[in-house]
Amino acid sequence: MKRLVILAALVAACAPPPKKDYSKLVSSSPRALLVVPVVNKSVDVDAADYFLSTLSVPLAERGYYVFPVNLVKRMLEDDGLSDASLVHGTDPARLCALFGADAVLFVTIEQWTAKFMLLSTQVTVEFNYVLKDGRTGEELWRDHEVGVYASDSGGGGLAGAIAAAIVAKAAPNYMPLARQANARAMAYPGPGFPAGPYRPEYQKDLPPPAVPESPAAAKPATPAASQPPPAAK
Amino acid sequence: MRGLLLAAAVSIAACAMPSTTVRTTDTRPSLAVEGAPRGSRLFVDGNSVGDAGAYDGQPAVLLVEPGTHVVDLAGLAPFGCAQNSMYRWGGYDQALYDHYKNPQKRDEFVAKLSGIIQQAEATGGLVPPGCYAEYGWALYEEGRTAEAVTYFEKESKRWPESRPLMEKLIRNAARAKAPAPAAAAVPATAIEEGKK
Repeated sequence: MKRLVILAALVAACAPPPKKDYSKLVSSSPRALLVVPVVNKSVDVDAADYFLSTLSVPLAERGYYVFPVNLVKRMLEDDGLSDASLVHGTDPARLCALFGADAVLFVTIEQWTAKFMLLSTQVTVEFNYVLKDGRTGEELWRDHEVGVYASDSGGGGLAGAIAAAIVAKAAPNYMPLARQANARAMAYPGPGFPAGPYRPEYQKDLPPPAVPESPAAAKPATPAASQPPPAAK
Repeated sequence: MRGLLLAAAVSIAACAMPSTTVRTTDTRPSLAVEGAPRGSRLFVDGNSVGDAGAYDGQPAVLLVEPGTHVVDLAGLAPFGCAQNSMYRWGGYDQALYDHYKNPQKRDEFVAKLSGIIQQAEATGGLVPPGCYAEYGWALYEEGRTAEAVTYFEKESKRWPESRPLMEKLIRNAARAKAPAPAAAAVPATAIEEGKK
């Protein structure tokens, strides 16, 4: 019974939102993506840098060239843009021109919190991702992800639950949740990016253009089929 | 409350037949993975619980505490959902994370970047985008401009998208070198301070 609950949670986590307008992203077809430092709205001062370290790998695996994030961060600092919110307030076209990028990804941490209760710890992360065009500054793509992990007392008994809470309190681990959120945000088909130029399926996996006459043709091809969750039962 | 239940249980037991069987069952939820590829690893909430094939449900299952869990099944490369990785990352994201967590251990970060490049080159040249440049920048910050330029050039050659930025960095490196002919004799830390 409880297995079912877990399975349901997994399926829900991987289920893509119903529709997304890819027309702007497709017509812009960026090759080189700039990832600028992350704006952090949480109270955890380290969250921005920690989260920044997780973005390059999934993005590059989608087939795009991703500018080295630490180099970008240090260059911006040398340019007087050490505050991420200043960077996010800068004209995307100017930022992209500085590095020769086609588009820039702005990521904001909305939540990065651990709530400690007597018998459990709840860790929550929430992110907003926005990709903007390097020439027009127009928004090309956006996504929003939330990840929650609760360590419940459950069958472990009171002593076990307290031990678990202490372990979690010493170092609540946000990184697996953060990586999962990125994986969900960038998965395609799903909310994420169509294959970039370095993937073999580049330009072969594009959603069919929305044809008003035949709405059935505009449906993305079976979004749920691509990323099967681990066969848990 | 509990006392009342206990009392009720006792009173029921008192009325029951003399023979009683007590079974303790583990009510925790369990996970099993069917058809896991050889060598794939199972992660629960970011912690490895070992070979995924070991939990095939016949009869071995993995018991977990009730609640929501993040379950990852990873191939040989233990990160995220990227099952068929295009590049040999060699822990690039972990190196960055460690660097931000312990900025004072800069040498380790630089050594790690160098290791990633060496390893990737030795196994078929799948150096991930940005790695040459990241390493070159680290060298540049230490004042090792000649070496830095080598890696900026490698990045530029491997990834044409990076060319405008790399050319800019190579020009900067040349300028940084020109006004100080004794640069080689100056320790890296002195150059760092001079920049501030």
